[in-house]
Amino acid sequence: MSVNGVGFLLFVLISVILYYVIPKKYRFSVLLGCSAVFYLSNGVGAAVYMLTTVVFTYGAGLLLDRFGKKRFHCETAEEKKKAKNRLKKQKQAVLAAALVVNFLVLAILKYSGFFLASVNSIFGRTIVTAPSFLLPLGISFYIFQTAGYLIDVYRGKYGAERNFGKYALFAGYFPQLVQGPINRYNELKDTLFGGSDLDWENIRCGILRMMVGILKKAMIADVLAPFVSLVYSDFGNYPGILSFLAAFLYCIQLYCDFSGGVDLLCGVSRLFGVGMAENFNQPYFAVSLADFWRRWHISLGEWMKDYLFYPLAFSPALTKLTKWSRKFLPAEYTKRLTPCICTFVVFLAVGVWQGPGWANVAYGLWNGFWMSLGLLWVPFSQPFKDKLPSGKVFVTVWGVLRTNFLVIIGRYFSNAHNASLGNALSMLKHTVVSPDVTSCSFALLDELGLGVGVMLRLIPALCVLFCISLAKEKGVDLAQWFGNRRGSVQFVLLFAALLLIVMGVYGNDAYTPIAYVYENV
Amino acid sequence: MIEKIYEILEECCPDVDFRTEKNLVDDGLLESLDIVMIVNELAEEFDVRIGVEDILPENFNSAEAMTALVVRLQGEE
Amino acid sequence: MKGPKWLILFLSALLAVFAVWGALNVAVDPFGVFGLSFLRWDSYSQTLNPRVAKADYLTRHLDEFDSYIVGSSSAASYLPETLEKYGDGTYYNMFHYGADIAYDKALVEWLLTVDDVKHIVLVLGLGEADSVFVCEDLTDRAHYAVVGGSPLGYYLDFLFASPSYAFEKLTSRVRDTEMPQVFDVFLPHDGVYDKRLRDAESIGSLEAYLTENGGDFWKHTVGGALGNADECIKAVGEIRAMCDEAEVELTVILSPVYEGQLSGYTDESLDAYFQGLAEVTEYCNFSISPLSFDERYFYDTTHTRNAAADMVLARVFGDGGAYYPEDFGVICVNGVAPSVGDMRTKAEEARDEADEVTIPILLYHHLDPDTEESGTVLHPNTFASHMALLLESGYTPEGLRDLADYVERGIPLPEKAVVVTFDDGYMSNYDYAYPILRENGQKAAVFVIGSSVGHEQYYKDTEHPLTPHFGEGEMAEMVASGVMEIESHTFDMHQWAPFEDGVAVRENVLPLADESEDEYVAALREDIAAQRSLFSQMGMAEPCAVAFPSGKFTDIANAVLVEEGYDVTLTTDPYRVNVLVPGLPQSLVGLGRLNVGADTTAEELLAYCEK
Repeated sequence: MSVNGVGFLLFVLISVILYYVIPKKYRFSVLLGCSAVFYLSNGVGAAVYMLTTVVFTYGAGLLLDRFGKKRFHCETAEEKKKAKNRLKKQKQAVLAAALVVNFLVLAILKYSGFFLASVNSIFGRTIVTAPSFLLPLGISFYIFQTAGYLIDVYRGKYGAERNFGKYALFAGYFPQLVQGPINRYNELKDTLFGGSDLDWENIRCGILRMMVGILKKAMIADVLAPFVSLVYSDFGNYPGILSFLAAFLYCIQLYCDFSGGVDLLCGVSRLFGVGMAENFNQPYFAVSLADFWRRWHISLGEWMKDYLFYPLAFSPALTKLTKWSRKFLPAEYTKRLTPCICTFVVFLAVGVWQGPGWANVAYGLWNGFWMSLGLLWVPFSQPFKDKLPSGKVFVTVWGVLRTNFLVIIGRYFSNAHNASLGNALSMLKHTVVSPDVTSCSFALLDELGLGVGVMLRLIPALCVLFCISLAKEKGVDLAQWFGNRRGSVQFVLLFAALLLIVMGVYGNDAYTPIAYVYENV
Repeated sequence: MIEKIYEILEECCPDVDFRTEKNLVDDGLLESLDIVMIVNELAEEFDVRIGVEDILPENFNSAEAMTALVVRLQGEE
Repeated sequence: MKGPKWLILFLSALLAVFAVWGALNVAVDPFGVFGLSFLRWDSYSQTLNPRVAKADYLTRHLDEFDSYIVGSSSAASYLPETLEKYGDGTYYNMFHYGADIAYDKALVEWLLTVDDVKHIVLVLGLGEADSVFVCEDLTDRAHYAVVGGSPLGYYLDFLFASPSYAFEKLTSRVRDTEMPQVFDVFLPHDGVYDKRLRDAESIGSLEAYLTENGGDFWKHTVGGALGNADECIKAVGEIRAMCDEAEVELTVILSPVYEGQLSGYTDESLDAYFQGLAEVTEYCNFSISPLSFDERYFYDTTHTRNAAADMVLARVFGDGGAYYPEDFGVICVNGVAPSVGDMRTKAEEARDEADEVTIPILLYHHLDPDTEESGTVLHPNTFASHMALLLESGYTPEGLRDLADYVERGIPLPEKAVVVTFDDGYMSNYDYAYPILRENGQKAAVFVIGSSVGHEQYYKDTEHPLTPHFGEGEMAEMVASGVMEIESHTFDMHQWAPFEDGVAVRENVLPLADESEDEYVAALREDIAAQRSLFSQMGMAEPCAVAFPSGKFTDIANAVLVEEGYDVTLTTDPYRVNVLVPGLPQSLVGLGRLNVGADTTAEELLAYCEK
């Protein structure tokens, strides 16, 4: 079942009705059933992979939990400490094994092709042919989510879920399957398992958010997609400036695609009264790259921070390194050494998460480089910064422009044709060497799918999006604002939005939905 | 001890007023990078081992909370 | 607003959207199902979905028709106009997209109930017997009155049809011109395609045709079974029974099939289909004929040209005047069908003896003993020597009407036929060429510019001197002698810019700058009408050929000329090989000519003729 179709909306409608008809205690099982139907409708093979992961991590969670609850009946403190250490070793072993297996599945399904192709290219001939695997829907989302759960249980943040049905729902709750967000067990469990009461506010906000998501995706992302993919795949045949334009528009496309999809599915989740993690916070208003990454794909960033960044930063090896470096480096830099190394590793992981391909690795390194540089730069820039009047608009605008420029260049890599680093670099080179602005005409844009007709639809849509984003950035609760308008105003706005959705998107054969960019990540 | 901690904190993040802010992490004034720096400095200064499981917002929301954390860890050693 | 009240607000907005949606589809009515007449556009609706739109058109015009052509798009080339020559019925072509015998049956059943039908022509291809047609979207939907089913579901489907159809119709409205475009390819009063542009295509040798229309286009499929043959035969039998019961004349035609499509089926399955059909009805089998092996008779692998269908109808109705190949088609009566092997052998034999001819055409202008020879002026003696050369080399100069008779009616041409033509209509043609030709017993054609006929001194109404042009008297004499044929060089589309005061000068038939397609077509028609009325004033037969001034032309010009009744159009392209294909009027369009000027040697002239 594609999330883009009317079928999905009907499925949601039926699910919601069922959900509120069933007694509260059993409502979670409606969600479980619906999730199963949703996942199975996307292919039985994928469901088997998923079920395996669920069963396995469920068992591992229980095991870790049992270690955690173990009481010691030891005579001396010394013995107790020894027993505790032994237990800790065992726990670590269980966690390590579970994580290795979990990520191995992901690695094999998603990266074996890339890995083997790289091996072959090193040897210059085919050593092994890469098997092609079926890539289950949203595999990296559920793998990351269950891995986070296991680590939390290991750390004793919360106890393991004993009810298998509930655990399966946590891992396979359908609104989070397509493109996240990566939810946390402790944040999700109350509303997910508790069975919320029918709250009309949830229905209202859920519907509004779904509408916003659908419009973002259909009116902006899918309108830009053909142009972007055309230029990325064939940049050499067009003026270099168009490569830059494509990278710039890809930023908009990706945001509308990704956040639009998340809006739609968070809206759906809201209908059940289940609040999922937020994934975006007006990323393009970021004043620095670090700021950008706190606003973009937040649930992944948080995941990386808690389960990769901190463990790495406080690992014995890095602690030792810091200690050792104190002897050679000024304190300013010693302090920043660990964060720099960890940032690099985290962004490497973020890049690889995007998918196989050297361009993705480069994308991670690009971000890691600027983030680390920013960190090391602080001791130099601080005195300068102190002199600057803070809170001035131009400082913010300069920050936003600078950040977005780095983000746009990053998109040369993250969306490179065939995820090839060579393509990304030649596209970048093409932009710089032959921008060829003069041969860029309206006729050419029209040919590439950005004609006047498209612009007339796109520009108003982008203006509305900008206003909405600006209002949100200023802290306006738009759903609240909308609810406070007069009935007639609400009616007209709803009518306009629904007109676009019904006649422009779902009911219109001329609109062919494009799969979400991160649907198969 | 708390004065020493203030000193460390102000060195790491000169922009933040640690004496009045009581919600450093939840309000986003301290980021993961800052926390790593702070933790490293604290560990060095007070000779304690701060583990991943101690990296919780409630332990870093204020200078007082950090002091409490260090004291607790020193006790455990 | 909060709570359930908000949901009601939301749902009413949704309802309003659906109301707007429905209203748009009713008002714009792209499929022509709701019957509001203010945006009615039958040609557009029929293009979108011929099944629905034709049923609708017919309901509104039932009294105009009493005979019908039924079938899938293989029936598209069977023209009511041609059929009306052979009987007293008034025909409508009900053909639809997609080979769908079940729909054909339902359609015949419906026609028999709604109208007092005289004659039904059922045209079959192989598609009907290949597989069951599956209706996938609105463009394939049938009218509920024809196939039964609930009117409610039918109207709901069209009420909430994708708005893109309505938008498409509105934008097409803006782009509409008189000539057909992809969105309005039907002639709604006949039910057939508007092939004016398509059928004005210039076709020469098979080789050239294949080069132009891509080799891959004509790919052959490999033998399989006719999966739906039994169902198809059964349905045809039922159609036969219905017509017999209603005492309606039924003609069943198995249309010519291109060999690339034929090869998709095994001989056994074809035999079984042909035999099965013979057992349920009398029918005419044209599936395998010399046409099958000549791509020029097909628009694509599954669609025969109108010209081919005309030949089929001429054969079925025994039209002795029209051309069709020998042994064309087999009439299957009394349950006997010919074997596929026999048909194939006969067709291949006939194909080897294909009687197409290549005609060289020479172009002269002015003859003058006192002027230096140039590209358009020759000494009369030079011309005389060329004619003598033709005579010696065994070439027979023929008229353009002879070429048309050959293509249209199969009247043979002499071996080594050639055509001698003069452009512009100079007095010198009468003074020098006419006596020479008459002496030699040769024929020639002169293309006159209508507005210059009889102008011996001045260009039109001006005082600009010009080379003298002959007038009515000379023309009458030359035509009466049978030596000279007078044809058209346009009435006034060969203007001489320096002598014209108007801004928009037409030096040839190309459109003027900034001229819209409709204005252009109107200008062409106006010129043709002026020429026609000049010819009739002078008591001469209407011209059948046009030589394009300066050899320049457009597809639209060819289309308009063919539509206005011209058979032959000529350019000045010396490389175009003029292959005349009997039965294929397109082989008379865009013929090339060699301009014979001062530089043309006798050897070159002969070489051109022998090419």
